[in-house]
Amino acid sequence: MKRSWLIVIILGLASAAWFPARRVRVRPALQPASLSPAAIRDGDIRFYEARVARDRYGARDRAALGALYLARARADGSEQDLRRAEALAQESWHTRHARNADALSVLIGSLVAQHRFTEARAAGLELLGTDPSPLARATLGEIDLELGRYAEADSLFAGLSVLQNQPAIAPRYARWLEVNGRSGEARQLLETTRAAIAGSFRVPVDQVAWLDLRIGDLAFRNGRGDLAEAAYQRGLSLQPGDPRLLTALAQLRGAQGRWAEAITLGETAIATRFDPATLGLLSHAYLAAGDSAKAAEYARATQVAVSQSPGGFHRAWALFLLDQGTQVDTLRQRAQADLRTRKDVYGYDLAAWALFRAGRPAEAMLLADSALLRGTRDATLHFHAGRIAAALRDTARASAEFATARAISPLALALISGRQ
Amino acid sequence: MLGLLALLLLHPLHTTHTTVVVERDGRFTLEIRAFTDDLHAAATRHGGGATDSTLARYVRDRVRLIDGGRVLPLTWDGMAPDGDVTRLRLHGQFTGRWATLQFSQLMQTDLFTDQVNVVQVRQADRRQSLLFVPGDSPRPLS
Repeated sequence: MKRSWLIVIILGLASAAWFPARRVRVRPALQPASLSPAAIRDGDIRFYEARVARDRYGARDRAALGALYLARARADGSEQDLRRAEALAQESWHTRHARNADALSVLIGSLVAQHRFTEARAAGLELLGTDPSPLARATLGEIDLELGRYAEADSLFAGLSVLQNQPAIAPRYARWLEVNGRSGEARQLLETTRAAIAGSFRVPVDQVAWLDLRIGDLAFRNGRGDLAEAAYQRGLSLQPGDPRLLTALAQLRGAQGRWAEAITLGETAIATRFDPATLGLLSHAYLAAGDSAKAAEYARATQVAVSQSPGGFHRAWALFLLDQGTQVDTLRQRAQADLRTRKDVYGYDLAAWALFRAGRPAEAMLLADSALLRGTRDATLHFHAGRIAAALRDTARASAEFATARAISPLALALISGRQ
Repeated sequence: MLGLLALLLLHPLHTTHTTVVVERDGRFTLEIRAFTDDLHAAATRHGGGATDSTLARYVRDRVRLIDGGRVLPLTWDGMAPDGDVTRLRLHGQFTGRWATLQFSQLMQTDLFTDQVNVVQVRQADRRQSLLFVPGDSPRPLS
């Protein structure tokens, strides 16, 4: 298999994040077909580690090994593997620039995973200079979306419209559509992509399951609980026990008021993958189910888990803590600092919410307005704007924003407002 | 590459996961999953390197099943690496009543202030989850 395909497929596996990987250890005597993807990947890592140890200057092997570490980092949540991936990608790139787009791809992946978006963008520009492929343009476009560089992103994705159905382009193009308020088109694009790749031997099932997760999320955010349910269940039929899908389904159950089921699903998810966002959801679920002691236990654990996160800023965790009314001033400062480099809609929304929680609604409203500029269809953005407007006694604006939030997704609104 | 890069954000998290299965005859097994680097650092800080015996000693010091005030002995069944994670297995026996049992899991809390240890207990149809953070006391099993 060509090395570049290996890199693409390995990086493609990156979307399947498991912690810790609940995989069966397979003895060598069993048929190769019985080996789990994780076991195969660990074997590949050992293979490339040996090659890299023998060859001090091999750029391709370093890029390949970096891609494997990156995939494992996303599966196991290992920070060590992430750093290994970055280091190997840097070594590979410094050894050879020519025909080495793979190294840059690994480097970009490792930098984004660490929230180092500005550096990732620099690497993305180099990638584009080396390999002006549609995928390189889409990758740079995705980074620009995260940084809030919408003019650049618009330009890149406009040039990719005829290629939007390509499997590697579609998820990025869909993200661009979503940010620009075209959620229905985004979901349709992902459904079409899923139908095109499902069953293909080159595409691991966890990639297809990842698409189901995205489709479900888009449906949930746009009030289509039925479509969200179908997508999540479809994904779980491919990847039983996938913690991301379980958490998403738990969220849907919570929005439906089915708290006992939400708890069961959330507990099952954290048995496989530790995610403070899931802990936060469980805290909310236990409280709604009437168990305030358990709710407090989970809320406290969430606060402890995220208390030392250096570097990058995890927005979902920050929102949960703000809704709990904890660490407000620290989070406000971090959100405003984050906004200096990431001026995207969700950066504005988080900073606005943090200012609101800090008792500064006038400043919050300015940022909330910026969050709404792109027309992104997200009930959370409008709910936040409504609460801020209410604090400023602008009842007309508040009513309008709450009505918009309800129209976009009564499900999501039920969940958000229940957390307050 | 189908995944969206930005949805795969990683943050360093300090955590372990423990599954406790209790049989009807009182025999119980523990499987603990921990990131290998963190585990070795904690065990080394506790005294000694990361051998079977030092890890066993470390786990017994930090993980406790308490029956009516008595710490139950844990028998070491070994460990197995799984990527960047190590799985540890132990077992023991309790003879008292479920109502008097308490559990404590404070691995790595001596090393990381943001350590969260997730414990899931299964006994027949009962399921219970416990979360331990630094400074926590033993918790009763309900």
